[in-house]
Amino acid sequence: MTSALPASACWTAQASGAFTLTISGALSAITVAQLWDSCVRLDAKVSAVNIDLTGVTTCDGAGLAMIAQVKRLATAAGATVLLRGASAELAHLIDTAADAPRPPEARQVGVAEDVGLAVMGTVDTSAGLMEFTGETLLCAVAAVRQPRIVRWRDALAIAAHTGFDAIPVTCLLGFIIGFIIAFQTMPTFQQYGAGDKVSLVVGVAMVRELGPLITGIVLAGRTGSAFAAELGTMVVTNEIDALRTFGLNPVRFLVLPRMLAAAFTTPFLSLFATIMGVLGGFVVVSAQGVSLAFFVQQLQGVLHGSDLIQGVFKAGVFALLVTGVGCAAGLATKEGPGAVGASATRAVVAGIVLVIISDGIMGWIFFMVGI
Amino acid sequence: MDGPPVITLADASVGYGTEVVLHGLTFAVNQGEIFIIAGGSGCGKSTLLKTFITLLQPLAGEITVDGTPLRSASDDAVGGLRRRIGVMYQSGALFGGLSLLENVRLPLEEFTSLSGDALDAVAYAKLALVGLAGDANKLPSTISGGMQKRVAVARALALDPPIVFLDEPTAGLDPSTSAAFDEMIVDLNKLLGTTFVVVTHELPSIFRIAHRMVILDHACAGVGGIGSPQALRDECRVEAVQAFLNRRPVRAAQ
Repeated sequence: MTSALPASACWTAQASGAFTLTISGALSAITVAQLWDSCVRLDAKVSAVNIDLTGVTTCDGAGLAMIAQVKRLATAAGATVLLRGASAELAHLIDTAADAPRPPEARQVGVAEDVGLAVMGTVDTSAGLMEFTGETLLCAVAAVRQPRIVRWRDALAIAAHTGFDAIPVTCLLGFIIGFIIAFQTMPTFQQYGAGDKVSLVVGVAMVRELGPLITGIVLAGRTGSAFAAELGTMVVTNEIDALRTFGLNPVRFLVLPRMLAAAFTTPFLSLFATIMGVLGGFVVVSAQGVSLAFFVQQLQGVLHGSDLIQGVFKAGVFALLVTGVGCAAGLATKEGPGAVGASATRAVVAGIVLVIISDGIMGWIFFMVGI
Repeated sequence: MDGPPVITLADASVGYGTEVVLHGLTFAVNQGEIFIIAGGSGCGKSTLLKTFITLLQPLAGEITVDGTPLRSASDDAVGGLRRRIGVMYQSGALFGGLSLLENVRLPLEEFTSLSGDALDAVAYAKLALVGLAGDANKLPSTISGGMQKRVAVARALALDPPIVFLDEPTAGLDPSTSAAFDEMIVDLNKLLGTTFVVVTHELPSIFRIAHRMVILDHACAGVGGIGSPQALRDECRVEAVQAFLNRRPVRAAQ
C-alpha cells in the first residue's frame, strides 16, 4: 500500500454570489473521504460556481462523484457551473454523472395501504389456487373420460420415486413413533395394572391417526417440496412457457401424473408406517412378557376393517392435498434467484398445515357419522 | 418478400397488466420472410414476442397471428394457433428430463397420429436439419448452449409450423457458431418457406439474415423504423434507428 498523495480543496468567494472551488492533488476514495464535507456544501446565495480542477493530478470514481455532486447541487440551486482545467474526458464523465436522472423517491407506504396490499396479495394467491384447483379437476374429469390423455409412463416413474423410495424413511419413522408411544405410556398403564393394554393405545393411534399423519408429513417434506422445486425450476427456465406455446396444458402434462402417482402410492406408505408403528409398540410390550398372539388378539378386539380403511382414505386425501399444493406452489414461482426455494418452502409449510387441518376435519366427520 | 401478411398489428399496445411497454404499433410480417425485431435493451422486444406467442394479451388495438385475432380469440382458437407456431426461447427451454430426441418427439406425440417408428424418424429428421441427429440420445444438460439452441429450433420446427419465433437465438454464442446458426435459419427459410420472426440485437446476424426488420424505439415506446436493414441504415433519420444500426450511443435530442 502506498500512502495517498495529498489533495486539497477550498472555496473562495468572488463577486456577489459567485464562488470558486479549487481542487488539487490526487483524488481517490481516501482523499475524497477527507475532502467531501468541505467540498460538498454550498452558500445559500450562490449564483455561479467555478470548479477549478487545474491542480488535479489524478481523479478516480470517488473524485468524479464528489465533483459531480457539487455540480448537481449547484445546478439544482439555480447556479451556473463552470468546470475549468478538466480534460474533455473528465468533463464528459462529470457531466454524465451530474446530469443523470435519479430514480424518484420511494413512496412511503402507510399501514392501511400495507394491509390493503397484503389482503390483495392473499386474494390473488387464493384466486390462483382456486383457478389451479378448477383446472386440475377439469383435467381429472377429462382423464376419467379419456384415460389415454394421462402420461402414464411419467406417472409410473414418479410413483417409483414418491412411493418406493420413500418406504425406508416412512417405515423407520412409523416404527420409532410406535415404540415411543408404547414406551411413554407404559409406566402410567402399569400403575393401574394395565401394562398389557398399551398395545391398544399403540394400535388405535397408529391405525387411525399416526400412520397416515406421519406419511402425510413425510410426503410434504419429501415429495411436496420436490414437486414445487421441479415445477418452479421449469417456470424459471421457460419450460412451462414452452409447454403452453406448444398448446400443452401444464396441469395435464405435469400435475396430473404427479398427483395420480402420489394418490396411488401414499395409502401403501401409510399402511407400511402403520404396521411398523404397531411393531414398534409390540417390541416394548414384548419386553413386558406380552406374547405376539395375545398382542394380536387384543388389537383384533378394538380395531375393525373400517379403521384401516379410514387410515388409508386419510392418506389418499393427504397425498392429493400435499402434491396439489406442491405443484401449485411450483407453477406460481416468480422470477429471481430465491424464487424456487421460496416455492419449495411454501409447499412444505402449506402441505403440513393442510395435512393436519384436514386430519382434524376428517377425524371429526368420521366421529360424527360414527365410523 | 411480398407474401401475404401472416402477422398484422393495428394500433396495438403491449405490456404487462396496466403497464404499457409499447403502443401505436402498426405493421405487418409477410409470409416467408425473415423478420427481425430489434431495439435497445428494455425497449420491449421480448414483451412484443411474448404477445405474438400468446403468453401475453395485447392491451389495446389488435394483433392477428396467422388469422387469429389475439384480443378477441377464444381459448380454443388460441390453442389451435399455438399448434401452428413454433417458439425457440432464449434459454432453449428444453425439457431437462427428456433426451434431445424425446424433446423433439414430444409435440409430435401429442398432436399427430404418427406411430412409434414414424415419430422417431420425423424427430431424427428435424434434429438432422440442425445437425444434431448424432446426439439424439443425449440429455440437454450434457450439450453446449449453442447445441441446446439448435435443438430448441428443431423442436420449434417439429410440427412444421408456418411461423417460427426465435428469441435471441445467437445471443451468447461465439462468432463462428453464431454464423453457422444464421446459415441454418436462412437455409430453413428457403427450404421450408417458414416465416421466421427473430428477436435479436446482433448486428452481423441482422444484416446476414433479415429480409425486413422493425427497430423499436425506447424513447417513443413504439416503432422507430421498419424496412430492410440496409434501407433503414441509409434512409431512416430516426436517431434510435441510426444509433442502433451504426452501433453508436444514442445522441440526446437537440
